[in-house]
Amino acid sequence: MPIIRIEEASKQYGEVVAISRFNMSVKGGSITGFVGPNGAGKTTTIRVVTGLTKPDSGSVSVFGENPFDNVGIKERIGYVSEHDDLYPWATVRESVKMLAQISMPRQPGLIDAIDRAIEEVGMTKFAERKVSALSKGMKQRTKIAAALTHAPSLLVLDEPLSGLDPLGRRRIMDLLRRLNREKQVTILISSHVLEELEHLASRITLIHRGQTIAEGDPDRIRKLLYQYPHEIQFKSLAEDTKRIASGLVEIKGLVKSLTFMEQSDELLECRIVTPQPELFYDELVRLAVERKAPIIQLDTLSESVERLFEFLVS
Amino acid sequence: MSAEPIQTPVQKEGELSSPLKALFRGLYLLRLFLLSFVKSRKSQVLTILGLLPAIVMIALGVPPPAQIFFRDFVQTLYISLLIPLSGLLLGTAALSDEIESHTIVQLVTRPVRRIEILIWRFFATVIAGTIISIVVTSGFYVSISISAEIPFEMLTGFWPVCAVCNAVYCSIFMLLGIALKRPLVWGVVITLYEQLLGVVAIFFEGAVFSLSGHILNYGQLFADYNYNIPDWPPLMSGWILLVIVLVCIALSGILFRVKDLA
Repeated sequence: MPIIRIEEASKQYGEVVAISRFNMSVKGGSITGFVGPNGAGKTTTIRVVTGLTKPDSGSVSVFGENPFDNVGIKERIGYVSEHDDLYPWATVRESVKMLAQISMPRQPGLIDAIDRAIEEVGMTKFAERKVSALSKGMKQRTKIAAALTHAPSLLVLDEPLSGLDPLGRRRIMDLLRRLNREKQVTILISSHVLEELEHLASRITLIHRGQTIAEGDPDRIRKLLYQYPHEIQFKSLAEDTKRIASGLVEIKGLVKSLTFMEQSDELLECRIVTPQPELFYDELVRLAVERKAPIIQLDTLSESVERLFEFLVS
Repeated sequence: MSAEPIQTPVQKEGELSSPLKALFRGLYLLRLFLLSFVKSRKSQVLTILGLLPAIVMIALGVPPPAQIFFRDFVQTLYISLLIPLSGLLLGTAALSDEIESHTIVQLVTRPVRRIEILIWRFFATVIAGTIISIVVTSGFYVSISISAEIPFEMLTGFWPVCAVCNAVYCSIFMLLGIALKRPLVWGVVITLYEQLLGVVAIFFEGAVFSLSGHILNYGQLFADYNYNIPDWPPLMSGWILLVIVLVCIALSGILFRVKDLA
């Protein structure tokens, strides 16, 4: 059952089209990753879902209702924005408490719920620290705690992992997994880096220029992205590099372009563009073993997310 | 449509009824906004600026008769100039400060209606402005009381006038803050217009079209002074001010309800 349904939604800011006839649905109990480069329309979509803004046209329903200024729906949504939106003068506990009191005024067990949420995000030790003195990761965790106190059944997070160190990223991902598994919280999470979400999300939607360009489980998305011509370079002894390269060229459709770049008298680097990266890696290893030509260095030249998405659109 | 059906809201044991819930939610919002004012540099600067005349009085001494000087000074400097200016700064920033610091997002995405946020923010702004007014007029009173005796009632009589003045200016400037891109510029224009009418009122009935004229006219009911707008009883000015405040809040509510917070 989809609990979020966006149909043909469009939103424009002046001349800038944020989303255009955008469609999306999110099933209850899932973790849906929402991936696209900067300016793709992720934040606008999330704002439409959380009722911060209305689409110019099209329809949005969350739990079957229009979420805009809808108190009943907002009681069931927890939102973590990409901005520093906590009061800097308050401590972690005060921040969570003040916002929880607004969500659930004078609710029995509120203080326990606040302590539990702070503990859940691992901030108990820093509960009396002022928000202005927190690191970015700690602020993110405080925001998640503030979003959890009213026990939402849908948690919407806008780029919660950006700017975090690997440890901070992992803590948040573990927390989200736990929330989804143990409390059946449906999660919609955005990022501009696919790798961040492919091990977390059960479903991924790729968005570019305000439109969905692909959606499916992470395996399907990964396969789709492998269709993008990868630029790979490897280095070996000059003779070995040539022997491996000749083997690769013999395989039909594997190599789109090939360039040798001399490193020294003994070493030779080869740069290859391949439309079939998965097959390429298999063949590279096979040839290196078969021809007894050890590879000294192997690199994938990173492409910008923007170019990758342009490719998928095309 | 195959969306998940909405659960029927059931009041749990110990949970408040909807109107009580809304009231307590509002009071928590009010406390949050008042705390923001206390911590804000703007409120502290406004209080210090408002206390400057008191410091000047201590340094220069009070020209006699002190009671008339005190009364005229509070009327012309505080009620006609400083409180409108403080209302300008606090009112225009009432919601735009929350929007700029993104804290509005935390509030708007909670189970609370936008109109509730607006109304409680308005109350908080008026209360903060009135507290600042009480502090600065008290400071002025103390500075004059050092050299001359002035009845305490003369000071306290001005406090309701300060509250009315804050309510009127904050409502107008809050509306400008939501409706316009450069609310401060328009706010300054309105304040200057007020000052101009104050001068013009000396020669003919410009006070009829002046906010501070009506505030002072209505304020006679609380404070010990005389102010006259021909053919306008003080209570009528009170009604006009109430209508202005309500219209401004209603328009602000309509604009804030549809405002894109992206």
